[in-house]
Amino acid sequence: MGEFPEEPAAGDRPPLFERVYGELRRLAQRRLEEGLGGTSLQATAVVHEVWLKLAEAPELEGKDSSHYYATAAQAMRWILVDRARRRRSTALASGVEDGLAAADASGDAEEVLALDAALARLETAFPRKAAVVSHRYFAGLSVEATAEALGISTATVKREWAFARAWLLRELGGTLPAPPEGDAPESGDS
Amino acid sequence: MVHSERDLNEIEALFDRALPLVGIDRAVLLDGARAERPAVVREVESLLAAHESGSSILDRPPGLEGLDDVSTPARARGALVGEVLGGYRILAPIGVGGMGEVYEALQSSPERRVALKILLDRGRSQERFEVEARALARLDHPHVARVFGAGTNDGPDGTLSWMACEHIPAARTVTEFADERGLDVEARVRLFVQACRAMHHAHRKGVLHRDLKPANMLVSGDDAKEGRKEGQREGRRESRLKVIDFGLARLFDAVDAEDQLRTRRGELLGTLRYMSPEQCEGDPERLDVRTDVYALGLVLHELLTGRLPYDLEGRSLLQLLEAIRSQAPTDPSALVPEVDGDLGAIVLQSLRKDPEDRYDSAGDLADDLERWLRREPVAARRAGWIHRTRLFARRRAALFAGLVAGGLAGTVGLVVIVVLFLDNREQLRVIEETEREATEARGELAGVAELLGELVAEDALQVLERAALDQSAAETRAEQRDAVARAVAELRRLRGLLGDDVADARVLAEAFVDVGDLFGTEWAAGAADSRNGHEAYLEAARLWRRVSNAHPDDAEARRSLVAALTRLTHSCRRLRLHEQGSAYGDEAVSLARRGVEASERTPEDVEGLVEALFARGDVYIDFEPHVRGLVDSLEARDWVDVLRESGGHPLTVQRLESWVQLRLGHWLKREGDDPDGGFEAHRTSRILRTDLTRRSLARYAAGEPTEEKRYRFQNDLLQLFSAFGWNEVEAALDREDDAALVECLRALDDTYAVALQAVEERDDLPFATILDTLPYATVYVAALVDRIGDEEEQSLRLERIFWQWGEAAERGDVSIDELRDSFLYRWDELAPTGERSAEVREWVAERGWDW
Repeated sequence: MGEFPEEPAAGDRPPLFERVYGELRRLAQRRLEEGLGGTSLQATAVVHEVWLKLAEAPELEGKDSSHYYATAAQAMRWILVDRARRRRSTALASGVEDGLAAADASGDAEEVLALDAALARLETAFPRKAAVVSHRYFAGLSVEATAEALGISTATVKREWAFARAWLLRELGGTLPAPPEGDAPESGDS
Repeated sequence: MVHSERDLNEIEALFDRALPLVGIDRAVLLDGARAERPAVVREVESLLAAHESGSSILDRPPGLEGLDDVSTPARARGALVGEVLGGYRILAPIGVGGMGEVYEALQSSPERRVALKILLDRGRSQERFEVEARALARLDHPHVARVFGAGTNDGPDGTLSWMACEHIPAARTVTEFADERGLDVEARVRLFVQACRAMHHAHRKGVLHRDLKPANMLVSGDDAKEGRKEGQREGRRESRLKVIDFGLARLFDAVDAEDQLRTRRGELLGTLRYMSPEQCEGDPERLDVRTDVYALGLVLHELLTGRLPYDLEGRSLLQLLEAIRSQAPTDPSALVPEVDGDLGAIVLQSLRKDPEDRYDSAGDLADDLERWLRREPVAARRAGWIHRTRLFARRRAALFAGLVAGGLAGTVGLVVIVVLFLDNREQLRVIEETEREATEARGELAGVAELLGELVAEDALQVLERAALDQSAAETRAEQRDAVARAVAELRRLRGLLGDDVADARVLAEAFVDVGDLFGTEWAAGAADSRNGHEAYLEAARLWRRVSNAHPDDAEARRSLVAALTRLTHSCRRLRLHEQGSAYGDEAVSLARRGVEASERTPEDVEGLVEALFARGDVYIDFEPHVRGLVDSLEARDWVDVLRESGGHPLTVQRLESWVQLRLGHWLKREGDDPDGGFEAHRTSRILRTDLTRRSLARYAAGEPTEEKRYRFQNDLLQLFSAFGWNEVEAALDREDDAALVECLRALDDTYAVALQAVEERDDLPFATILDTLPYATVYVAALVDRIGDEEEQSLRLERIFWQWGEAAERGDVSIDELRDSFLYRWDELAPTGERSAEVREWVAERGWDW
């Protein structure tokens, strides 16, 4: 299957990316250490929180939130892919010992890696649709906020999202477990 | 499959068209295109199939769990199995929480299984851990899980704190156990009495649990089997229930797994469900053994009925606190037929809102439950019991006063620590230590506090919104006052939950100021109107001071503190709290001076200083030496000049200028050797103010009419009449200058006529906007008609006013009584000058109004 885009070397990355990436990681780590979640720490919540913190940062001076969210979506994608890669290798290494948890972790990791690869392909064919996915999924923006950030109408965002979601789902089809019973599919244009 | 650019466009277009279609319509569309573009249709069909295939990774937000074990891969869950820690060989994980882990472990000597709780320290206080462990080790009771030892070890990933506790094989929570075994009510009560006895023991050793809930009352599944095998001997049953996690549960696992709640927020609210009313008040001083008694009542309620005594589902934080504080608990006997009235009464007795009304101790609760088991009359049902308890409690007040809660004000109920009875020096030392540890723990729980802070901030905004709505919907001053009082009380309750987070303090402080500003901010507002605002400003100043202390270089925080102190100074004046007012005024002025002396001085800083000088000077209106007010006003005048020259907004300058002149007039009248008695200054201020008022009306009329603009106009008009006009009238009377008086009164009434006309012409400008000015306008017209000869003008002005009163009376939504009182009060004030128009007097008499 496809190869993931390589993470740019630290020196090549623009300072804003550097800053956002660092803040996201730090905050996520802190939240996790606080252990409040236990169940779920949503990446999107972290993205929004970091925005509140960075809104005044010099790197963002003169730029609006859409600039931040585009960067944050990218950074969050790196973080998730990075984690997934490591998880996969940890899971492979620890193997039998912690059977169930390891399987869980690696399954999760595979999903993220597959999504990342599929998204890279979508980017080639439909760059704007990939951007919609990136904003909505990784940065957690609403339909309205995505529309504003990309300068397109909400109707377009909904349409693009429906298409991109179907496209990605089809690409991921082979690698995904069957959907749980009774879990209604999202209509996509709701 | 590789598609051309054209294919891609067609795929996209066809998909978009097909997606909203269903059934035959979609088939027709696709079939129509198939002949010409088979590859495109195939592609679209596969996409449509995928679209409908169900949920996927894309349909849930990405989670970040496990980012953690990426950074420390060695610390994967269960990683400690097989290791030896403090002489305990770790066998298997029992449970894993967010902060710590619990393992089953084997102690070699003496040989026994233990539950080993492990906390991976990240800069936590080791000492605190040990203090607690020592206190817990002193507990020795068959129904308290024993603590065998505790310590810390340095490991490769940081320091591990561990505590070895009694291991309960096949443990179930008390509710699970009772349900699994299908225990009847009596068996449940018998089991529960053990928990009460355990708690009573702990209390006598000076340890509060503070986190009692079913998850902390465990029953061994194995033990029970054994007990049944050996026949139904009572003695065997006695050893079943164990209370665990004294003062530890929160540390190890801030979130209760059994709550099964999905989100962080849900989880936090879940832990708050077990809070007592006194914890909801945010007063840690009030926590004592009866807080645990309350928690026992909660668990008993849940054990008997399967639910908590309040409906807390889907509540916001504030609603939850409010429900716990004020909602009457459900009576278990009304929910479950097997629970009789006596048992229900016992539960309710433990759940009383006021600790004074509860059982005095867990032992008393246990005694009453045992009476119930023996079918004896229970104390909870005895007549006059509550009263007797109160008396008894009062006799023991000295004892309770000796209880020191080591908990935290900031994070109510989330911190757990040992509370000790004081009776000797050694213990006194431990108390001090405990309190110090508690301070450290505050930082430790910053995470929880931060989340709470978010919730608090959110709720604060809601309170504010609601208060603003209530206030604008209120028809009378009294109702408005109530709305503000309610909001202040609610915000204060929220403050009790607030940690040290500066951002949250900021949000809450702003909310306090805004609530205070809702009402009674007018310069001439009375004491009754000011009291609630005063409370709100006090809180705001306190919070801003905290923010400002944390960020001494934050100019915005300093400005906000100055503004809060300035408001506070004004409300002190209205409430006749002179000394306090002058102290707050001093603080505001000196802080504001720092602002204007700073290199990056802004117009806001200058404005802040002018306002602070005004407020401080005003305190001396009723307070010696009056001359200090004059000094402040003179300095304020100089700063207004500075502001004018350094680019302050012209309207702001004009507004401040009008106030400066008003104050100068006042001080000159009282203190200066001005032959005019300040008349010229008052006249200037009234003219400036009239201009401002007309401008704010014009601003309202031009463009989108907003509530804020309307309020500005209403306030300007009222101030013009109540403060500016009034002072000029008085000065003119003092000078016995009738011509000046007539000119002033005419100008005022003309402005009122303009306002009245605007109200009549504009549907979006409510009649109520000008009503609070009506009492003043009436008095002025009464004074005016005596001094002008023109009968036509007299009747024009009088009729306009009378018509207004008639309108106001006809409208059910206006409180004529308040208007009348205000009018009569002003009327009286002006009366000594002997200026009472016969016609007005007659008009007043007709209404049976009494001055």
